[in-house]
Amino acid sequence: MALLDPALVLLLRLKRRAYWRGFKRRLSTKRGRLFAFAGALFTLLWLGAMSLGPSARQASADFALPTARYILTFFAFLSAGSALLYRGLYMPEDEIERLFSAPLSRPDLVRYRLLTSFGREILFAVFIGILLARRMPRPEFAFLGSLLSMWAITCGSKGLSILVGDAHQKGARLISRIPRGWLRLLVGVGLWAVFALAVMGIGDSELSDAAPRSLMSIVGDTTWLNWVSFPSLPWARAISASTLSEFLPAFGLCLVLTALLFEIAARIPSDFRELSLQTSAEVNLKRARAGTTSAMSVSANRRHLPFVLGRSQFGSIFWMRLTSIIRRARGALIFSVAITGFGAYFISTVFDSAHTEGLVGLGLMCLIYMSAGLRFDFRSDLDHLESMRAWPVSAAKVFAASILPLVCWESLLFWAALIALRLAGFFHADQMIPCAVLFPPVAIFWVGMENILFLLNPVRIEPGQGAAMQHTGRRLILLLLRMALLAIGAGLVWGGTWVGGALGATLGVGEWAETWALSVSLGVVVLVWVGAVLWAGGRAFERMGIENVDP
Amino acid sequence: MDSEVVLDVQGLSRKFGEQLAVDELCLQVRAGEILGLVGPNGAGKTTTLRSLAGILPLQDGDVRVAGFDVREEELQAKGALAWVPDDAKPFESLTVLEQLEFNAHLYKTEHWRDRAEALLERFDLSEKRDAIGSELSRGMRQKLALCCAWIADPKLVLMDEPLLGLDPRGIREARLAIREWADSGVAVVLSSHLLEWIEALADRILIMDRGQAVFTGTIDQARSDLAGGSDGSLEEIFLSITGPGATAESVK
Repeated sequence: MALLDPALVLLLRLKRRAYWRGFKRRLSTKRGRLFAFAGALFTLLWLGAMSLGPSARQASADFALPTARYILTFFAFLSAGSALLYRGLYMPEDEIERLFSAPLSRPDLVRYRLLTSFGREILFAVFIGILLARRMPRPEFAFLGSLLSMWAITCGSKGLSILVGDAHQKGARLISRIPRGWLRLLVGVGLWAVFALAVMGIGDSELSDAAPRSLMSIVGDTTWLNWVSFPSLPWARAISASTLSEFLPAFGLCLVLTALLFEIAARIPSDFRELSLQTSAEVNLKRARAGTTSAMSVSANRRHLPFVLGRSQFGSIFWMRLTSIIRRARGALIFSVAITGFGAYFISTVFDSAHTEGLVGLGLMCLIYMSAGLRFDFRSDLDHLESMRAWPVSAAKVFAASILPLVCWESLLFWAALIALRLAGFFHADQMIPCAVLFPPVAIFWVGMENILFLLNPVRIEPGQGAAMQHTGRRLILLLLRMALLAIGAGLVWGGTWVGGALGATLGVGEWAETWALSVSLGVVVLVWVGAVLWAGGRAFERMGIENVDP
Repeated sequence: MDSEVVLDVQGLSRKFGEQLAVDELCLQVRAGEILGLVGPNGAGKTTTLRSLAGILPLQDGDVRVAGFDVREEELQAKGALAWVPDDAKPFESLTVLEQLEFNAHLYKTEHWRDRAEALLERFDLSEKRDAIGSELSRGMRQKLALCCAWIADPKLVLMDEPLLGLDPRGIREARLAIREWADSGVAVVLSSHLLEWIEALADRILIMDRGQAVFTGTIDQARSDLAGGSDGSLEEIFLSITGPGATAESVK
């Protein structure tokens, strides 16, 4: 008996061909080549630094097994959380009706989705593989073992989605009552913590020798943790194997178990069609809105927000966007509050209270993470951009009013974090006030640049964590461009201050000349930069076309 | 008509939560027959068609397609039918020809390439054979959906507003094709708000309102039963028996 219906095998083959065709098409344009090169470079540098970096230290054999075991359990729980969020079998909108109405068995549909999931998650699996490989006795065993364990987790998670969906359809009250918003928050914070640990390098000390020892001294002997992490043991053994004779049997067992999980998930006797239609519609809605929002609740729909900036054209656009955010993206807003709280707590534990680096770090986190993650601007309106251009409003005004709500939200969160840290005894007022004042214009610059690039080269952004691995090339270019412009701005401010100081010394007017020169040049640079971004954003909005949206 | 019954629906009901979308619907469609499904927005037409196509699971009622019980012999039943949705969404990254190739394999159609070429020619898509799904206009997507339906060589075709987005030439071609396919023995269920089109094409009509069938029969029967034998158009009949004031009971 074939593993999969021949038509689905053909579909997989056609999709693979389509992927390479799309890739070649992208490479046929200068812009595509630039983004692809930058993306490849960034990925290689990142993965290379992770796998070959000088800070890579391997856990001793004693601690390798529990480390692998707990990390896998952590991922399994995160994945289970996602499974509770996306009940039934998710299928993309271009597949669902076609495949559901076709003569295909439900086990085949699940197998097909599992195989496509493996393909989609391979980059993430490689990332985790490298992350674990550098901390285990034998990197090659750890890499292979973690790849397999990620696939096993995918099978388990899909199976759980189907089971939970089935229970939900059969009216299991407990399942229906799980608060999905809080669950989403929990999963999001967990995943963010993983990326933060990996990207920021805290993981080096936390996850290798020192931390497992201290971690295990706290929880290692606790029976419940051992029980909870017990299912991950076979994969953890393969990952932490130090000799070939240890690795081969463990890996073989994992292969069998993963294949079993694959087949069990496929054969769960559940008619998931109705729930899949709901889940898929929800995901598609998020995809259309750049992953920022979900379906609106009836209660949210009733609230009328005031026109906080008046009923002018600018005020109306601002109101429209603000209303959309508050009605449709409450989950994302709560999530951003939690992330800011997490960041503020992290800064309070890592940095000395007198160091400005902590403030700058918090500000950068608010800018980088929230501008990339929240997308409450043109990026969530890809399908409406052309009709927006028919509005009788100047392009610059539309641009400014569209990015302002996100800028306001980021600024509010940053200020709230500053106040909380100040109340907890961190930082001085003379450090905080300049940062607080400078943050909004820098946020306009940051968010504006993101939107300018989006309008010049629109892309559809995947919902959820799928977006994390998307368009790395353009992200790198954007980051470099923003940094370069900020550096030029800083250079101009420094130059202005130096000239002011020199003039002050020549004229003998004292030190205040330098302070004034600093303030004036800073003000001028900020105004020019913000003005330039708004002007360029308006121009980009005028010439934007969505006919060539990169998929 | 003595031809074989291809679609047999008995007591089909569908709820979404507490909302009853389709209520005890019964209908039969024979080979070579075109059934026009009309009704106001929210009447339950799309839900009915999606249930018949197997996209939504059956809740209550029995459905047989080409003699196969949709509940017990789901795959055989699906193998005999094709579905054309109102907003066709082709695979974004596959070319037009690849979409047809996939559908041909899905329904185990032999000699698919010749058939695909003929369909592409017929629906003016030959020049777009290498265009990917995301590059097609709405009208082209709809034409492609018609091609995908017919490459499957079905016994029953369920169409939900298949003309949305088509240009006049496309509408004319679709009409001719549907008639030809019906003449060759394919049963067609066609849902549309274009009542003139339904009037010209359908052998029988089923008017739905608030989930219930309020009339089933030929246009002439509708005229004699509902319009007092006048020469009223389907639109006039439709307006007189649906909407506020009209109830299923009063029509029946």
